Amino acid sequence: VSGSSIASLAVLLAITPLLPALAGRTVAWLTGRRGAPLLQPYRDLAKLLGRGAVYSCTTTWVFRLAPPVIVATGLAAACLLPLDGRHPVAGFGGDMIAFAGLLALGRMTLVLAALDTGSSFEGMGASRELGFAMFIEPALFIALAALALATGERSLGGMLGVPLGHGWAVAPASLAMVGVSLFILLLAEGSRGPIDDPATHLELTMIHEVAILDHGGPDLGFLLYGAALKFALFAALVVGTLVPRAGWPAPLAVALLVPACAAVAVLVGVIEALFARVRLAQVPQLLASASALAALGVILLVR
Amino acid sequence: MIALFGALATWLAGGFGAWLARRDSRRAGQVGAGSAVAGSVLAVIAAAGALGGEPRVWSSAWSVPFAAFTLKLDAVTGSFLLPVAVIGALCAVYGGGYLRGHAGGASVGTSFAAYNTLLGSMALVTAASNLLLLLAAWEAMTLASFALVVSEDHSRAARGAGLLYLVFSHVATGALLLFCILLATSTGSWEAGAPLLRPDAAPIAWMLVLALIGFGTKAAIVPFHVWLPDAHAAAPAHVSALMSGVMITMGFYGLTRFLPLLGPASPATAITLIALGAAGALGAVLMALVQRDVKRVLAYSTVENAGLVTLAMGVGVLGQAMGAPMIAALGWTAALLHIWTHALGKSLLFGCIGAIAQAAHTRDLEGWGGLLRRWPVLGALAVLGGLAIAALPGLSGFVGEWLILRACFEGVLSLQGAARVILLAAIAAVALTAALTVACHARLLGIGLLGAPRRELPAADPAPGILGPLAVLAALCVLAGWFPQWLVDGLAAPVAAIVRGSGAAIGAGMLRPLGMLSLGLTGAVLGLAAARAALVRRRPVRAAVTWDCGYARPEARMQYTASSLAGPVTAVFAPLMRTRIDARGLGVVWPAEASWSSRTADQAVSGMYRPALGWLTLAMGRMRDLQEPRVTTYLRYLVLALLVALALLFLPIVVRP
Repeated sequence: VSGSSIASLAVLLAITPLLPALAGRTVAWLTGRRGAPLLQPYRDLAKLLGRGAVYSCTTTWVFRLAPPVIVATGLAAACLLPLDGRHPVAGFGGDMIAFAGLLALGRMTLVLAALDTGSSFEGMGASRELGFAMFIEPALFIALAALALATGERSLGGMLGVPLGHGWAVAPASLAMVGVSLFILLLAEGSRGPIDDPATHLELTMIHEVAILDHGGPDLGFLLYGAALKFALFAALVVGTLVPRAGWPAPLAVALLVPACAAVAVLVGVIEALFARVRLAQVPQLLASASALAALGVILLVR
Repeated sequence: MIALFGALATWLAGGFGAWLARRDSRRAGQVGAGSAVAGSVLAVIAAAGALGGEPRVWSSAWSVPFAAFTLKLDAVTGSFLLPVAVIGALCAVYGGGYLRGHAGGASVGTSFAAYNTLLGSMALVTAASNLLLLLAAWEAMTLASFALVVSEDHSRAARGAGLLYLVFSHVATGALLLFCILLATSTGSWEAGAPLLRPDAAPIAWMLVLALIGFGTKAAIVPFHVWLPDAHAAAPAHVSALMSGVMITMGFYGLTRFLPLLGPASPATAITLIALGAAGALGAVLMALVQRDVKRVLAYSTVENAGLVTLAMGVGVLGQAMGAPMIAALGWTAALLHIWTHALGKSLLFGCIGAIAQAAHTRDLEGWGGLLRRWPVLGALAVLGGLAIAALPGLSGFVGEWLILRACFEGVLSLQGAARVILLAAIAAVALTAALTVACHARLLGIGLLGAPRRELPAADPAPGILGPLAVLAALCVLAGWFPQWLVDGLAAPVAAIVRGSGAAIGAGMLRPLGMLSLGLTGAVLGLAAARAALVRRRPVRAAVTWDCGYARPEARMQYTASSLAGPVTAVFAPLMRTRIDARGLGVVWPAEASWSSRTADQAVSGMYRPALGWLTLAMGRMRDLQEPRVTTYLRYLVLALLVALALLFLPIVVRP
């Protein structure tokens, strides 16, 4: 484990709450509002962690254990990504499968916690989450397969590390498609528009927010951080794919993580501001396009 | 070898003893379960010895023509015998408690007689080296499990399931009989393992098809899986657990044992296995998502996992066919490992869900809800089992699925051409299956165990004495997730025997990081949970009703149902699944009496077997026209037959000059 990989992990975990806020700020700016200050999510987290909690009478330990599990899966997944463009904190051959598995575990936990409340609203969120997952997971795996093919590597540390530079020299079109595909997945997994609407407060239109309606206090704090962490993970995946940094000096590669992730967040905000949320029935088509793009990248590589 | 004989003798004697003691159900249970455990301990010793040591053969004459009582204990036998013994013992203890809480049906003694016979016959299947002995053990296994499936023979559904199972099993046994005859004639020996006399002339394609039908039916490979959901739903929970976790693996044992004997591995076999596996896994998990009967959900989940094992075997065979020893070793290790981890997780989940269904007196998922609060320990074990079977990181199930995907990725990177494209498709199929599996088990656990109770259920407690074996299974699931390298170490010898001297081996080092990840994840969860608890403890905590959007009277009926939860998924696959929806009185201006129901038939039944049976019946009906209730018609046939016979007799003589 190198110092730069630990430093980059610390940087990512520190800027995690900032990214959704930056996207929200961009939306506000483009729609002529001022928006919340960028440090507001940190204040919110501090406030929530200091609060008490109200639990529904129907809930069990599943509801209480879910927030720690969701944050833990995000942390474990972050350890597998080579955030400094070289090495992950803890990578191994086949860790991309574990990465997807950890995301699935987080999703399962979220769904179980939502169903534990016995609320029809949260059931709706859980149902949508499961329905979209079946488009997200194949797309993620096809994108990972494309990365593996482009680099000839078997781990995330290799796919997004040193061999990626060579991959860009050989197959730039494929990798660009993979990047776009991962960006679409970021919109879904980070629960952003035009798939989800993080700003709404109408239960019927939400996906992630409606699944965590009944959490409060420290639990909500954990969940908000976990959701932001998923956003950050996919932002790091997109950055890692599009900007190979293996040749750069280590401090620069670590430092670049901040503006690059911020740029991704701003782009998310721009898209959210420009496009109306698509109808729920059309979300599968949007997500299937991510699969199609990644598959096209694969086809270009194996032809 | 002595341990194996001891195990067989203990099982048979115990089964007989339980049958003799059938009037006293308490003692019958003790004798049956006790002997099952004792026999299993001996079988574990035999299996462990076989996994590590040299192959041992024991032979004795048998009066049946061509047959000999030949047993062979080698590493492959050991890898399949071990789950039989471990799961068999735990399910027996569980069954002792479960049957005591059971009203009606066969007596405990009879049930255990069949159960112990089933264990013995499965052990014999894995050890039999003579083809006729194998067939005999196979048939004993089928009949013993049939007796267990129909043990609640007062129910019409159980009798129907038993009949379906018997018909499918015997078609399969017929295919196996033909397979064994063809194999014996092509090798000139009734011993399994003899080389083909003339590999080029042997009817290998036919033998492959017959083996696929014969073993595939037991292994629940789609489309031969049709018997399984009915049989698993009808059988008592411990039998379902054993059949689901272990008995289906006997089919995979047959494929593992006999595929390498049929000449060099061919890409066609590999592609067939991968395609059947992928189609089976996807189709079955979709079917699992629409079942209301909790045991049918688990049964279809078993078919799904059988599909994944088939796919992994296909990858292994593909590696052998393409001369890529690493991929062959990865694929076969993945298949055998997934068999082990599925056996652990599925018997745990079947045990928990079966016990809850017994206590709740209903298997209807839509009638469950909030059962975790009611039976906290049993419910918690069920959640653990569900997470393990949904192949989520940290537990046993993920290890098998990870290795399957790892094998596919390895193949994508090192193979060329069509093989690479096939494996890419396999990755996408497994990924989709994984996402749907999560949905399926989130539905089972979330709707069944969490939320508010949907119906008043009788206030019964689960049968006593069942928690012990379930806790052991849960501990094994956790340990397998933490230390997967131990499993791979155990499988090194059988895989080496299957891929025969290719030199490639999956070292424990490949799996160790996965175990570290599980341990790290567990540690992180515990640490964060402690932090959360510390934060909450210092603050005021209140209980209130679930947020109801300001509605004054929230009700349990307003919760999402199992069908509505799976709605977005089933809507996407509606053209494939052909769900029939029957809605009445909905969408009208004035609310009146309304009803809504949906029904999804298994496409293998409605699209394949039913039409085939229809044609068969039609064809048979045509034959009936030949028969008329008149003597003259038959006299005409007689004369006709006589003339034909005479013609055949004399025609050569007439023609020759």
